[in-house]
Amino acid sequence: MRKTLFLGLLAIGLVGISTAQQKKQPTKKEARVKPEEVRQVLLSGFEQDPKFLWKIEQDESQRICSQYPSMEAMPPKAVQKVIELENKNIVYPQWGIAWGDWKEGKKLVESARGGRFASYGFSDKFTDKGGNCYACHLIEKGVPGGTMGPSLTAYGKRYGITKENMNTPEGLERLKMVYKIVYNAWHAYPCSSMPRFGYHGALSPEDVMNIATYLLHPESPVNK
Amino acid sequence: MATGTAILRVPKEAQKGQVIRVQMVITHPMTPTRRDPQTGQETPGHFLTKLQLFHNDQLVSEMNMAAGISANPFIALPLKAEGSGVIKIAYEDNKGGKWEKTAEITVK
Amino acid sequence: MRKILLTSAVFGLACAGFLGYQTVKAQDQELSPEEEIRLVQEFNRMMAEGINPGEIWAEMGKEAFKKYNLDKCDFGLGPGKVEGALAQLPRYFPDAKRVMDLETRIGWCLQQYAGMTPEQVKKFATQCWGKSQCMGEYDAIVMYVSMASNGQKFSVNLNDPQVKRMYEIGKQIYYARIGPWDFNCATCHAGQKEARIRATKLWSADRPGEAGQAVSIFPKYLVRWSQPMTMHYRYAECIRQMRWPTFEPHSDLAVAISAFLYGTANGTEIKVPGIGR
Repeated sequence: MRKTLFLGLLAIGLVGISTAQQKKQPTKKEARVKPEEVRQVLLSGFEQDPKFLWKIEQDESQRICSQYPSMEAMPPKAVQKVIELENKNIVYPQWGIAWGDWKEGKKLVESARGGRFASYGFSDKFTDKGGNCYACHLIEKGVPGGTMGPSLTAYGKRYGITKENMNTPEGLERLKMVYKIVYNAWHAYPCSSMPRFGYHGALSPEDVMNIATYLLHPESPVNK
Repeated sequence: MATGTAILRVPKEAQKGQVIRVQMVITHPMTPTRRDPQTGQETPGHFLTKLQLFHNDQLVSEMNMAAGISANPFIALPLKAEGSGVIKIAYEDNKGGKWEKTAEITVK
Repeated sequence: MRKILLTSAVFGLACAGFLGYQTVKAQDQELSPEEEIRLVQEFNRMMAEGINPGEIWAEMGKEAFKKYNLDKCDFGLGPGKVEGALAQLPRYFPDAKRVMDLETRIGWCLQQYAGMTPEQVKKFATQCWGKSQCMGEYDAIVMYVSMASNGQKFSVNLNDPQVKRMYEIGKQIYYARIGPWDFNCATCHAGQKEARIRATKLWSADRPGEAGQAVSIFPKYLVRWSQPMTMHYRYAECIRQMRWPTFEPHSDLAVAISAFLYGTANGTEIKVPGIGR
């Protein structure tokens, strides 16, 4: 009886020691870095100007997107979550969906200014704004543009927008679709490289409507 | 390095009659003369105007330059290696700067 | 019989339509931007011959190195030894208790051996930022030390747990969406698809060898500013374009990004200085 008790305790003791030894081995989990460490390193890299430190707070969608290296690597659940979150974040102009001014839109599309601050010069003014669209897109024929995003040449023409059908419900629906993409690209393309211009306030709803008009209007140079 | 200093590179040795490349980089801002379109005010430029290549004190090449050449220009001039000695470049700019630089070459 | 004719006609039209679409898509690629890019690449190829104007700074750097007592500075191979220094950085330095890359180490040594305060070091390091034809001594020192490793291959020790930790942190930051334009390094410099920003080709950390080719030529002489650009200046400019807050040189963020980029570049031959637009 005593012998069995002694052997039993010995067995438990040995198991206990062996598990303790296993814990000392660095597991794969311990080699990964913690989010607090990453955040600390990130904070240390910026000038501590309170005007700009708000910029590094991630919102929910950004946090989800940061976990995956690309859109293709995302599981359907994460995709759904981002689409759900972003569809709530769209604001339309005061007067609703109506064609804006494509000349103003053209200026915004071509401007690369707005939002860049550095204490060593090369800063944008607070009143500067623009979408810098040519960095990633080809828009007007013959103007150099990037290839990170799809080509937008003859965009309105491709979707068959003409003077006759632009004010029909279908024409305005197309305008609304393009407005939504420029305002908040993640509502349809979650975690895309395209900034959520309207959501972040880089462009106002009126600006976004002007840009959508520039892309779709039959008189716009994009469609000529 | 101050404006006007240069790096001069020639092959250390060459065969007699061989055409070698005399390469140099001259530190210089090469700014053009600008006129402000609104006020009409002129900002004078600062650029190299002349470069001469000498081989044993004999003038071999002369090059006139103007502000169209970019800053810190890299210039390569061909030279037929006739004899050992000193290769010298002499250059000046439009603000009165005058400089020289030499390198030695052995010709077999 | 009619059914077969009809089906084959529809099929033929569909094929023609598909081919037509492909041609239109291909014509998008033959716009003048492609010509422009080819000319830029030809220009870069021609610039690779001859003397790189960045070597002016290397000559300046040799004197500045002694002037600021950096022959006492240990880059990991012994005090004052610069041959091969760039190839094994970033690494952990027990005297500073930090992982450091080349510029951070130079900044630290300037504090130790040249009597500078951290604010003076930052001012010294950023004196040429935003300028052109600036004969900066800091850029000269970085150029001199970097050129001494020409011909060697990057061999960052990723087995060192401290370096590996910085590599992992750098990798997380590289892929983390931050800021009012939702950008990160991976927006431009990741992915398998070849892309360009306006007329400039982009390298990707996900395509093998490209990160190495990009970092092995830094400091890079830029024709548009007629002066060299060091790695930390390049980070500062990228971070400004990403609409992130102003970058602090010699910070842990810089070391993390360097650890990730140089670690990915392992095996690439060093060819400093590069030259570009």
